[in-house]
Amino acid sequence: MNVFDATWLATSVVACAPLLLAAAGELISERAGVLNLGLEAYILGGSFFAYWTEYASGSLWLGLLGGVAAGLLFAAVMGVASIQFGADQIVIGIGLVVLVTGITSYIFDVQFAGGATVSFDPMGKTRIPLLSDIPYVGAPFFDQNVLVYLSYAAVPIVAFMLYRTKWGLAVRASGEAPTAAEANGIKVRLVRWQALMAAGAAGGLAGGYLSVCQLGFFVHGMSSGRGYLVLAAIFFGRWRAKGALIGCVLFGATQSLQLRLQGFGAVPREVWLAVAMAIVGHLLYLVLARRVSWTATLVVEGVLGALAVLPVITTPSVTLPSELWLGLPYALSLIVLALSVGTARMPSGLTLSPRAH
Amino acid sequence: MSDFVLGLRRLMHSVAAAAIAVAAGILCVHISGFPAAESANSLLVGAVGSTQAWGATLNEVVPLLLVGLAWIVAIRAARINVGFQGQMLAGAICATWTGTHLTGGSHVELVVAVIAAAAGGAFLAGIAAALAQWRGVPEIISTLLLSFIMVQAVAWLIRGPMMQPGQDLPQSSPVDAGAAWPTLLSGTPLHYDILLAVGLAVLVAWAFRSTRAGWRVRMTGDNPEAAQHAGIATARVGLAAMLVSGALSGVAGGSLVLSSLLGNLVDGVDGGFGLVGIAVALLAGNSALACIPAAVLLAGLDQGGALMESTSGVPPTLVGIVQGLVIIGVAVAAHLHTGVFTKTWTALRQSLPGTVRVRAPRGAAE
Repeated sequence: MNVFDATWLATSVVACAPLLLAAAGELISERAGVLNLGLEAYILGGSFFAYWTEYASGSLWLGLLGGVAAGLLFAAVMGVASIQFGADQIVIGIGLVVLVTGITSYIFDVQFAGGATVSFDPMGKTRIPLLSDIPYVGAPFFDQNVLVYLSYAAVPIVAFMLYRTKWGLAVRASGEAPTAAEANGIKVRLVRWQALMAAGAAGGLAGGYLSVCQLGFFVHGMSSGRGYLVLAAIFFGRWRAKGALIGCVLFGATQSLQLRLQGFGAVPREVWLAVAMAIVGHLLYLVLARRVSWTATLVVEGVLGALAVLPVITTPSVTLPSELWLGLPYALSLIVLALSVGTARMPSGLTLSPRAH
Repeated sequence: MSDFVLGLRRLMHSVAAAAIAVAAGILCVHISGFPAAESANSLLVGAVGSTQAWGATLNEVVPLLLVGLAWIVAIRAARINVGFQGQMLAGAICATWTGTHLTGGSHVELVVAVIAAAAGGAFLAGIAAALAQWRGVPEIISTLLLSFIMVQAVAWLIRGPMMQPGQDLPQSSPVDAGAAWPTLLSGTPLHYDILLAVGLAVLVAWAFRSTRAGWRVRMTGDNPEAAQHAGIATARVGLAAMLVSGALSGVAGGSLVLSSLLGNLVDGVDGGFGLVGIAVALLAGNSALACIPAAVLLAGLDQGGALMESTSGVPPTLVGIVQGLVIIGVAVAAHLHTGVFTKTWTALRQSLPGTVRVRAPRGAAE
């Protein structure tokens, strides 16, 4: 059995979808200068309220709408506190995570006696006729539900909005130089509100995807750190759409890979090969694109690459307990961040209030 | 404005935010159909109604106070540490490991275990600080990711290498009797670690007020550029602050094992105090001594919430709503005097006849 088969590809696509949806909104927000540590809260709130709305109304689509509304509501709390009052964005983000964890768990406990879960049918798949017949990639990519298709387009759409529209310019100016933007007639607060609402709606939609589209039920703390992974992906992508996209895909693919590897006895050879290829590929990219600003990166990656090639040849029998596999996506994102940063440049106005001179 | 007036204003903010948050919590109870007055009463009784309740509340003050201090030490140096959960777990692992491997029953073991816990927490915070220093990875992200890794690491350890032999439960062996904190108030869960926590709060307050190291940290946090010109190695000070911050939360995590009923490592041993401890620090206006009453308040809320569940069936998750509102409320209150409401009021006042409308250009302050 191959690890990287069509089943893995399909679970990867499903795991990437919420990350991509949330990243699209958060990217706009961070470029406008608002860092949402509470993205985790928008996703969690979205997933619970989508589930609750579907429970009350019986409609999956109304449920999704409820999830988006919840994301917007919690983003509005963030907006009032940080944009209107100028309170610390990071502190408000932490507060939102605690608050929304409390709200969702409390209502879930009261309404559903904490676990006597009613589950619904997840969203049906929409098969795209010709494309889904392509061998290997066809079914995983083109036999999915509508929201997964939306997740393919989300980040590119945001990239277009950010770099090709007047509004996108205003967003970037508000994040980069709020005072100068204000002097040029851009209403920084208004732009930040719009960007923040985009993050809230996207986070809520990603949450709704998790509960009503993918699984059809809700559990306590359903978002399980996805919001933080998205923040890491955006940081990894250096606040550019393409980079954030790569980051989300990387983390999503790892998440589905670790799920699969839990079922394997030992780490198969393909995985070592993939790791080695990824490191060597990145190294080649660094050399060819002349992006090496830090020679130690070359040395470290060279050593890592050599180390990764070793198990491909020797194929040792490495087994890991499932708990450690569960920690893998977080560990990987940390390692990737540590190796990739160096020249990262965040929007200068990020987390600063527009009035902070 | 004098320090006294500023302190008074901060105190008012905190009291108002806490009061509003508790009121909102009671409103939630009322809306969801539970008897509000009875629930509020059992909240109070559960928090401070008896010696037993006081003991349980003060026992919970220990981790909350230590995490609050950890936040303060980092934030005073302009470092943001949000990975207390992971650092507490690292401390708990180290404390358990030393506590189970030492034998003999003397209290030297306890000292060693507490130091090991501090080292564990500092190590984890050190990873984040090192990544920030040399690779530019923001601590906000790395500390959070490290927490998620530590949760899984604990889950693995208590089912694998550190699992109690001959048992089928996911838990470690209990620590040796000498490594456990002795009980302070018999018949209650209150242990001597409360004295350590309060002592550390006094120590942190004194260090910030009267030592050279504390002054350097404050300088670094308040104005890094000026600090650098004054010859302070700001990077090194920040790194040290992160290490101390991690050590404090490591001690908190160690306490949760060494003063627990069974004295062993289990899943979720951190008890979610990692985030609530931040609420303690914010409620205290980032002042070390004020953390003591703030921690008592939030610990009482948590303990009272537990009794509220058993008497009137209100889910204890309600406490999370109140805690979240406290964090947001205090953070907003600190900015009330510069916020929109004050601005609107000023604008209104200036639009009255007979007053001169003065508005400095936005860049004037630069």
